[in-house]
Amino acid sequence: MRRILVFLLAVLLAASAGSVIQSLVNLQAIAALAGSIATADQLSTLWFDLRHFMPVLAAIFLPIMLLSLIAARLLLNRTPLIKAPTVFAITALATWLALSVINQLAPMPTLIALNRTLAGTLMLLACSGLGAVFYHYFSRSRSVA
Amino acid sequence: MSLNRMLFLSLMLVVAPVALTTEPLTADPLPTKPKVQTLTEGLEYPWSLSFLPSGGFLLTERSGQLVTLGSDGQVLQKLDVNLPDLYAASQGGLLEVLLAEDFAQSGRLFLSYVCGTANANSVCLASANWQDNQLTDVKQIFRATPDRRGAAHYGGRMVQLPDQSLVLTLGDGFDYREQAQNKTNHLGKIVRLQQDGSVPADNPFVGQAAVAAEIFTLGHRNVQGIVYDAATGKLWSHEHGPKGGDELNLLQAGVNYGWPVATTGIDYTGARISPFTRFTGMAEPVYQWSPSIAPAGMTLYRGEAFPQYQGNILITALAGKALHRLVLDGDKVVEEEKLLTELDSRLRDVRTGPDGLIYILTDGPAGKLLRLSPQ
Repeated sequence: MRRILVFLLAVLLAASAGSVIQSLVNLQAIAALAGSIATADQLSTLWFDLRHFMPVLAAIFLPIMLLSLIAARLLLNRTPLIKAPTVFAITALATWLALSVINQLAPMPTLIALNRTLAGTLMLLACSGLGAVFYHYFSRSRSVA
Repeated sequence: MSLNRMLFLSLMLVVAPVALTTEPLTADPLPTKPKVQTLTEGLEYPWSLSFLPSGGFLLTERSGQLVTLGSDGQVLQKLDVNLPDLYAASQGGLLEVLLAEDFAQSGRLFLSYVCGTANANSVCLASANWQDNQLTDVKQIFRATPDRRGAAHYGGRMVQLPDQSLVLTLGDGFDYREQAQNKTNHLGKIVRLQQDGSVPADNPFVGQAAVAAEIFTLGHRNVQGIVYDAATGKLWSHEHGPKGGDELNLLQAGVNYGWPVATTGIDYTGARISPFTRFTGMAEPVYQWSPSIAPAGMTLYRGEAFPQYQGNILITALAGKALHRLVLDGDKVVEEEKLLTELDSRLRDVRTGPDGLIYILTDGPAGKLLRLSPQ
């Protein structure tokens, strides 16, 4: 049970971080066109995205992180790799693959706005990767999955 | 339903829909609903319709065919259009066919289409001559810049103004929405050109440094409906919003229509695109739809067959699967009625025929040409 709760918390943290980063990047892009944006408008946007975009990102991250952690455990059981970087790398790679597949299936070129640029994509990968590392450290047995 | 589509729809079910409330205006029921007659079936993603002066129709199929129909709708010919660099994929391909004002004498027509490759494509405009049911003298006269990756948001609708200049709508390329505010390029703009592709001297930004002189208006997302009303001299357009925020706009040269700074729509993922629904210096829409209807074609009715539609704007909707009739009072929409909902069909284009009847193209791999007439 603890592992499940820690896993769900890890997904929530990863998705929340991704949501906040996307909000900030979007706001920066709009500010570049329209001038400075009032703090109240920025906070309102952050909160809006946490309520509406974060659950979508969590739904995308959840299966990615689950499968990545299982894959990492299988790999780490057979190889002497350092655990945290391996978990991070596998999850980030899986996220990149999943986003590529989603964009192939979706009618629009890129579903998630943050995924439109290399920097934004790397930040998304970092969110899911760090979420998986969070689970790795805080799950009870400190094992991978 | 394909596996790909099921997977994507499953993903989208997770997306909590956000209710953006816009109180719809409801028109009084008409005394008579129009009679719907199917003239042609089996059209492959038909996109645009025009009327030949000799009777009959010329229409485009997105895959690259120019189809000639008799006045009874019978397919007379499907011509593979040999356009330079045509790229047909997803929303791209052969788009609009527009007959020049002097077509009866000159045989000149214009074709908008997507040109390039998957990783570098754009909207192109070609002129050609139509003689003996063949296209001759095909010339590319304009290519929007810069190229983009992906196959979405092209715009591609056209209209010819009384001074013979052409107004061509262009989309933002989806991934490049911020570029709709960048005057150095054509993404998210409506451009105005001479019939040879050159820039009219009275375009609003002519002579300004680092500005694309072809630009007529800016700040658009994906404009797939434009109509010039000779009776009032007004130029109307509509455009797809994202999730919510479809707009009807009254176009004026040099005006900024706001996308993506000012919008009532949000991203398909639920994310907010901008904190602003309006912004100083940017025109507000005359009317908008949330949730989206996906407007894809437009006519302003000035025929005689439907006196009750006189001066109304008719808009075909893809997602909305209806013909939207907008009643205007000056520049305001005062009533809206949804027609043809019983067809449960995505509607691509609507035109007023020279006979005053209304013609509609349905969307899809088995598209139809429909004719609406009074009961």
